[in-house]
Amino acid sequence: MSTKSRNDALSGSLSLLVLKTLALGEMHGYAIASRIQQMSTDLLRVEEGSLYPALHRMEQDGWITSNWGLTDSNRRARFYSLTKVGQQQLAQERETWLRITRGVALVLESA
Amino acid sequence: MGFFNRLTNTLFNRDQSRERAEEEAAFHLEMREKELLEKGFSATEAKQKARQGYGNVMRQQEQTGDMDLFAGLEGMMRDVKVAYRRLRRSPLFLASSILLLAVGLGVNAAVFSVLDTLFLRSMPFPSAERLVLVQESRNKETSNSNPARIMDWRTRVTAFENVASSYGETLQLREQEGNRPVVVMRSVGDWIGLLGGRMLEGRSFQASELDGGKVAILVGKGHDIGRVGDKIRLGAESYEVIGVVDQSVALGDDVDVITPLASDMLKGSRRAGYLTGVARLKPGVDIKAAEAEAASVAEQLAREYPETDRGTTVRLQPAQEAWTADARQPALYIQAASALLLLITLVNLAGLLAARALERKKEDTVRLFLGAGRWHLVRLHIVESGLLVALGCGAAMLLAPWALALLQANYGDEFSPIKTAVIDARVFGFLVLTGILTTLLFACVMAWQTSREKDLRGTAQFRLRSVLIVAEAALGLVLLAAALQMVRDFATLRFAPLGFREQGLLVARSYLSWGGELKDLRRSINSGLDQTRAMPGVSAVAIVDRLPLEGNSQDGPVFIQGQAEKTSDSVGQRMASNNYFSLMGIPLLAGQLPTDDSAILVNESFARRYLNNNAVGENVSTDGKKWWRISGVVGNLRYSSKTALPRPEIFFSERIQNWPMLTFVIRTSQPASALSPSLRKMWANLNPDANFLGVTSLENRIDEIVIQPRRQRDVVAVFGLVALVLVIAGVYGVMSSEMLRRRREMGIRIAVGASRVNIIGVALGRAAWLCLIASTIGTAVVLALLRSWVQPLSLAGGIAAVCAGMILAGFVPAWRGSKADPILALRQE
Repeated sequence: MSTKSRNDALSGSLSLLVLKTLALGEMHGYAIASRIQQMSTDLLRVEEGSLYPALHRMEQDGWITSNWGLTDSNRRARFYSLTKVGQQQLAQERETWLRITRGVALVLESA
Repeated sequence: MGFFNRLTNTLFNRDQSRERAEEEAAFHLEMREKELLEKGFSATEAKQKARQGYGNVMRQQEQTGDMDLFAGLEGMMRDVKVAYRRLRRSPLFLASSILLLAVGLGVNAAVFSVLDTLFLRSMPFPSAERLVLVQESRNKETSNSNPARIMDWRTRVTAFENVASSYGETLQLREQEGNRPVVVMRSVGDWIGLLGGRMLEGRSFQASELDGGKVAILVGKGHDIGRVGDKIRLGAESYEVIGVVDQSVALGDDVDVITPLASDMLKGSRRAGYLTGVARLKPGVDIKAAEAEAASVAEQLAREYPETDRGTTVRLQPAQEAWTADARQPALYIQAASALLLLITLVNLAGLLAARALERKKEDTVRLFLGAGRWHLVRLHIVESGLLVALGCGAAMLLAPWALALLQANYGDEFSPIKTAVIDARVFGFLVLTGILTTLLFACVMAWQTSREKDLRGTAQFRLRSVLIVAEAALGLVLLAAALQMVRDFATLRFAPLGFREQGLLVARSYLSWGGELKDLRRSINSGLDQTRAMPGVSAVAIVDRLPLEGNSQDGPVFIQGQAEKTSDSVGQRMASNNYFSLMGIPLLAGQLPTDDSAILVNESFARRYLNNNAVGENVSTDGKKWWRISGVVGNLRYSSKTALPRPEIFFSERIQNWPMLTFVIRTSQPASALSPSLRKMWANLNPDANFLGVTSLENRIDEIVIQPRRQRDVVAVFGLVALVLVIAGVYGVMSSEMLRRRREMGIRIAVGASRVNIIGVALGRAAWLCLIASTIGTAVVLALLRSWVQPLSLAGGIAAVCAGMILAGFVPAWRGSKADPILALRQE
């Protein structure tokens, strides 16, 4: 169960970022990675390969589903989309993240 | 959900998910390269940059796959390994808990297999649910069936598909080397067909042979009586062996041979009832409806044969219920006792596990700090107790056949269906189910213990273990009270006045054939008595059909003169010589012993119930024609080993009435062993068909008869003692750790001047509290469930034993604690 209880911050925030990205609609792994970089204006550099184990795990947990499909350029790719559970998870993780960052920010400001 | 996905991925889709990861990685790299090319990088640069950004392709792919594997099975296996290592570190705990579980579960598995065979599983006959026992009923007393009536019911009751009946007798098998007794089942109708007996060799009876054919079928394999085709001589008759049938048709009795009953027996008197009747109901016929129809046929018969059949009706009972009725009560006792014992064992173990959980608090805390989840810790405890229970179940499975053999050896004679019980898949299923429940119980205890994270000083743990100990002691009290009651019941049964003198007498029993001629029987009796009386050292010989406590040989209602149309309930009709009463020390309460052949004796119970204690001079009859004058009243005798209540009986002189069951009561200076050879020789000469059962002292014989209640008592008493030992061990464990926990407190108390007595008092106070609560609960349980049986004295004995055990178990740790050096105790904190 080590993968689940791993508490490194990046892995935790990665799933939040993926969920947030997929909230926009169905997309493949490369698109997810590109979108995250784009949105964070390249501030967050994720090791791109680590995205796929994360996607795999999230699928197993039932947060997202995936299907083979064709890209605009007619290339076969795996497309991911958010499930109902995933939407709830997103709301919850978002809430947690905001609370933590707000808390941390408060501490930093007051110090 | 996540777990199952992972498991199926690991087991079935590992290649598939690897391929998918490879394809996705390839796609990703390709897209990134394309993008970089568009931004103006060279082909080589683009490829390199894309790889860099992606990271280690192989590692990522491995990680994807491993996620399935490790999360699922590996984690589980690791837990089992950890649990195993943890258990192995405390071998004493491991060994003792496996032993406890093995005994507790093993005994229960054996008891379950017996109960399963007797009550849960249907009997091993085709459509066994349609088999009913057919009995006659008269004034609410049931008895075996009369052959002529059985024939009438067979032909007239339409609800019966088939009816057959049988009785057993011991005959002498005549061989060249001499005679030896064999048990012969005489069947009327197609007994083997009705019960679906399987022929192991040869053939079954043909229709023409069913009516008294001189053919025999051996029962069960491995007989030395003969082979198919042999001629054998049973008593005076010769039979041809035509086949071998499996044991089931004997209904659990020890039967060697089956032969069809001679037809002239069937046309005899409609009075005596001695057949075990079994009927198969037609499909879909309700037993109540069948009984109603049979009752109306019985009414018809009563009109046709008013002298014999009036007042007789039919009682039908599901066969399974009938054949297990005797076993019901002892089986219940043993089941209840073994279940209680198991509960006590489990509670005790749960206490030990709770103590372990506390000891491991430190280890668990380290695990928590290293990043283990709380759930993970709980799971580790569950795995550990599961492993323990699994080992215990395995050991129990090894022990169960042995425990079953013990039960069969002790109870098989009385309750023959027990003999067919085996340890099989159903018993295994029972063990697994019990094991799962046990694991859950243990897991709850340990999980609760683990969740008390602040309980570093063991307060909550002490509370939990106290609750367990109280439960254990309360259960132990119930078991002990029941065991004591059983011991007292037995003492009542065995040592209550039997109504006769036990010492200084020998008994010699021999059974003759029921089919013999009356004059031969009479001659055997008379010369037997004469010859025995003439043996050296013998001063007196009396004869009786059966000894007190051995049950009845003949039952039936009697007419009482002057009470028109009125007959008694079924009373015991015995044969006894006049000197039987003086020899046995049975008092003559009124009148005198018969001086002529028209007089008989009755017992006190008969005189009181039917003749207002004025029996002497009244007349009674068994058939309404021949009347007998009551010349005297003798004291009551206990007729059964199962109850102390007397039963109305009448005694015919051996000159009037003869049953072929002969018990000689002999007063002699010789030991039984000295008389035995000459008696055996005498019977062999007198009557080659006599089945001589040996000589023994009257005391030994009585002991033999009451063996069954004694065994029952022994089993429950042993369970009670084991329970007491467990309670003592449990209390000792709890109080020891309690004293350790309160060491500092005791140190302070001693430092400020408390005496040893004070300290012991404080510690024992705890034990006394537990004891008080346990006694209250245990007493409440006994009063609620067993009030009608367990008497106050037995309850008090149970309470005293449990309290004494608990206080004693609490005293040792208290005494040790009081010796502690206060400086040492305080420094250790």
